[in-house]
Amino acid sequence: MDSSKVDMYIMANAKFFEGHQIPALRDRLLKMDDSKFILLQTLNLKDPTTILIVSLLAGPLAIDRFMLGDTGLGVAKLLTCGGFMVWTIVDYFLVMGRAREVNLEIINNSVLLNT
Amino acid sequence: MSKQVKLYFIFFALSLTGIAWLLFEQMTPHAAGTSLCLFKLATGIPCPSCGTTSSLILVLRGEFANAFLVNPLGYVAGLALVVFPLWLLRDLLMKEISFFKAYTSAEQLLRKKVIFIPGILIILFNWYWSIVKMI
Repeated sequence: MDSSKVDMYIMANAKFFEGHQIPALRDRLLKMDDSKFILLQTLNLKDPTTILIVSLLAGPLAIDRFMLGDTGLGVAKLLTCGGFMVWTIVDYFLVMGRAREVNLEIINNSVLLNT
Repeated sequence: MSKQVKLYFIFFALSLTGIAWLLFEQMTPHAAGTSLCLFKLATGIPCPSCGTTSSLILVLRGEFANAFLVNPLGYVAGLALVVFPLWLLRDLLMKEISFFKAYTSAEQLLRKKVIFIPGILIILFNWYWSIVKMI
């Protein structure tokens, strides 16, 4: 793909990814076919800030974990009253990173899978 | 840390904390109205799993009907507290990942609409019941 397009995409979406993942992601996007740019732009990435707000408000109900697709961990967290409250507080600090990880998985699974 | 190690660690820590908390509650005389639940302390209404400890203590005393009335989730928690530590230990000793495999397939199952919508409704109904009972 055109490097200006890739740079534009990365600049606009930098907050969705971990800083250390961006160089590798950029390399892979450069090798990607041009026709997939539309698909890339229409992907539903999870906003880490939204997930953090959900975690702060509804942490004991594990809604943040369910939103990220960690259903099994979500059930465990819900049934232990937010992991005896300890996990809730730990998750305040972990969910944003987890959301960025999930975003890279989304991109890997949909766009970059067959390049 | 790999995903599997993380999962095993989380479930092991949860089971151990659960058992330790249950033993602590068993040994100390329970003062009515005390709660560690952040959700309950912050909002004044019980969270969906409030009452699990009381329910488990009633199960240990043999009052099965009362345990169900306090919070049916106590039975789920009790089953988990028996099964999970044994399963994790078995995996650890035999150097297998059967728990991880079962967890992944359970997760796939839970993402199906036929499973998760009734599940959410059951949890919500149980939560509503807890609020009405004012555990």
